[in-house]
Amino acid sequence: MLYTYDLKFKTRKLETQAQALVAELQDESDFLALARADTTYLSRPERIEEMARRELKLEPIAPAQLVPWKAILASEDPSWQPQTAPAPRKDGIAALIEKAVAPAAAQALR
Amino acid sequence: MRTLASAFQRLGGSPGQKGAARNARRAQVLLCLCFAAGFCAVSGRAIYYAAFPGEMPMLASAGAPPALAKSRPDIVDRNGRILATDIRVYWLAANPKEIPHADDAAEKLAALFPDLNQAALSRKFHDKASRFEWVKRGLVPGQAKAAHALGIPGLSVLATVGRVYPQGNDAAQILGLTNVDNEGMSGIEWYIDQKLAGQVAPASLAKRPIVKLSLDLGVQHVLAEELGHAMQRYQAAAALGLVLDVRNGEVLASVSLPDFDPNRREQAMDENRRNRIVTDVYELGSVFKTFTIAMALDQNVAGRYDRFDASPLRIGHFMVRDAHAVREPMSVEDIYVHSSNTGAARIAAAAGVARQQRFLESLGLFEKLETEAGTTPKPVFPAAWRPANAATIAYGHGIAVPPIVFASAMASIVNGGKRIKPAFLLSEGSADVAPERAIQPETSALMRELMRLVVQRGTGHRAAAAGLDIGGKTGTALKVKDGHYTHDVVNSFVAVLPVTDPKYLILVTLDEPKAETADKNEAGYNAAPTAGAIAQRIAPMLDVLPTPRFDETAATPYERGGSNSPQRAVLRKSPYETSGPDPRYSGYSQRESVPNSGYFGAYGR
Repeated sequence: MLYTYDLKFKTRKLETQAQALVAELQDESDFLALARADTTYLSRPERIEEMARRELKLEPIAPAQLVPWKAILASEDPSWQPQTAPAPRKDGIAALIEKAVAPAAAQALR
Repeated sequence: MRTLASAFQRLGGSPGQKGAARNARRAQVLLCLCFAAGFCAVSGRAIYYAAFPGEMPMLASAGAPPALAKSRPDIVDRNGRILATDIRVYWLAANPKEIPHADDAAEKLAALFPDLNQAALSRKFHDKASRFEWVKRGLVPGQAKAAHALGIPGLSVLATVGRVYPQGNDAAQILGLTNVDNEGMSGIEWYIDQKLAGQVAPASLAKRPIVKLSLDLGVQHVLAEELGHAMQRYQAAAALGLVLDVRNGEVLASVSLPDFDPNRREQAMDENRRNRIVTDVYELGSVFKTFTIAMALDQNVAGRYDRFDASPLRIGHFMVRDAHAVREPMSVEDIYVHSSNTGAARIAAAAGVARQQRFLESLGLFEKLETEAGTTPKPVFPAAWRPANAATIAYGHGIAVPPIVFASAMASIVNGGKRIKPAFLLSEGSADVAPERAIQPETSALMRELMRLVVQRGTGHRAAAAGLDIGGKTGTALKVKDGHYTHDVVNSFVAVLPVTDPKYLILVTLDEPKAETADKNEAGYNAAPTAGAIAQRIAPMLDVLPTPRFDETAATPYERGGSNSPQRAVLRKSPYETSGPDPRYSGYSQRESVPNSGYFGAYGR
C-alpha cells in the first residue's frame, strides 16, 4: 500500500515537472514569436532605407550601375578590364557604420 | 483493543488477571506510539512541503497553459520576410464587485495607460452589479506585468493571441484584417480562414505554418514610396500601382494609396483607404489602344504600316478628336506611338463590333476575377454594343474594368499571348495544362516593339530609364462624375520590363492628378515618369540587367555599331512612317525627347 502511495506521489511530481516545462516552453516560444516580430519590425525596408540614406549616405542602386557580362566581354574599353591585381581597398561602408555606431557604443560603455 | 490485548496474551504474556491488565497497558502504549509516529510523519511532511513548496504534488490541470485555439499562420513574402505574425498579448479585465477603491483604481490605470479614459473607467468600476468589464485589450507582456504590479484586487490579466503586422502600411490592403478574436475578416486573412483552414492549423505559437505570398516586400515598398511621392507631387486623389510577373501571373507588388496601418484597425474603416486595385473599376483610356492594335495586327485587320485617316471623327452627335491632331493619314504604328484616338476608333470600325467584342472577351475583360485578396466587381461595359461604343472603347472610354483585370489582360498581350490569372499566393509547381492563347506570339513580339517605340519616341518618353528596355503605353482618361465627363482625369501608364524578354508588368494609375503646368495633365507628364522611376528602382531587385544595346539618357550605344547595325534597327525610322506637325514627335531624335537633365535629375533626390 505504501508503495502505491509512493508511486502516486512520484507520478504527480513528474507530472508537475512536465507541466512546468511545458509552461516554460510556452513562455520561451511566446518570447521567440515576439522577438521575431520585433526583428522584422526593426528591419522593415522603410526604416532601413531611411537609415541608409541618413547614416551611410547611400542611394538606391541605378540600373545603369549594373553591367552584364556580355557588355564587359564585348567592350574594347580598357577601363572595364581589371588592370593588375586590385589594390586592397578600404571598405567605405564599414567605416561609415563604425563612425555612426562608435559614439553610441562608447556612450553605452560608460 | 480487546483483540490487541489477546494477541499479546497469546504471544506468551503472563496469564491471569494481573497479566491481562499489563497486556492491555502494553497494547495502549504500542497504539500511542503508532499514532505518535503517524503524526510525526505527517507533520514532517507538512514542514518539508512548507520549506520546499515546489515539491508539493499538484493536480496537473491546475497549471496548464491556456489553449492556443485562435492562433493563425504567419504570412510571409516570397523571400520569407514576415508580413503578419501572432504574438502573445494580454487582455485586462476587471470585476468591479471586488475593487474596493474604484476611483483610486481608475486613476492608477489611467496613469499607466494614457489612452484610457479615467472617468469612464471609474464609472465602470462603480457599477457594483457588474461582475466583468473589459479594461484594455492587446497588452504586450511588459504592459501586462506593469498592470499586474499595480496590485489592484479584482483586476485579472487574460493571456491570448494577437495579430501584428510588422511591416506597417506596406501590403496592408492585400493582407486584410482580423477582428479582435483573431478571425480573418478581409483580404488574405479571410482567404486563409475560408480556403486554407484545414491545411494550416497552428500547433503552438512558435511552430506555426506559414502562408507564402507572391509579394516581394522590397518591390512593394518601392512601389508604395514612389507612388506616395507621385501622389504628393501631382496632388492626386489616389494612386494605384501593380507589379505583375507576366510569365505566371504572380503579383509582386500591389499598392493603393491612401492605405492604412493594419495595426490600427479603425483606420481601415475609412472608405477612401480601400484596395482600389481590386475593388474599383476605372475607365483607363488610351492604354486600351493596346488591345485595339493587337486585335488588328493579330487578326490581319491591318498591318503595322497600313495607314488610317486620323482627322476628327464624327459619330452620331459627338466628335472624336486628338490632342495632337494631324491632317495626314497615320500608320498603325504611329497611331499607337502617338496615341491617336481617331485612328484607333477607325481601326476598331475596320475590325467590326463583333470581332472587337470577341477579342476583349477572350482577354477576360468582361468577367469578374476572383483573387486571394478579394473578388473584383464585374467590369462595366455597354449591354448593346453600337458602333459608337466600339469607337470609344477602342481608345478606352465607355468600358470600365478593375485595374487588376486590365493588368492580367495586358500581361497576355506582352508575354507571348498566354492567358494568365493574377495570384497573390506562390504557385506550387506547374499545373501543366496548356495555357489558353489570346494572341499569336509574333503579334505579342510586335506589340512589345510598338510599346518600346512609345517610350523611345512617343507619348511615353518620360518613362525612359538609362540602360533599361522599358516599353509602355500612356492612358489619359476623362473621369465621369454624375454621368458627365469632367476635366478631371485618370492617368495611367502600363510598362513592360524588359521588352526583349518580358518578365514584369508595371501598372501605374493616378486618380485626378493636377497639372503641374497648364495644359500638361496627360499621363505622359505624370504617370509615365512615375512608372519609369519605379522601374529604375525595382529592376536591380528583380535581376533585370540593363541591356548593353543602347543607353537612352546618354544617347550613346554601349556597342559601337554603325547607324546601319542591326542593334539600332528598332530605332531607325521606317520608310513608311508618317510624321505629325509636332516637332517633338516628328521622327527620331533621342537627344531632344529625353533631355539629360530630365525628370530623374529633379525628382525627389
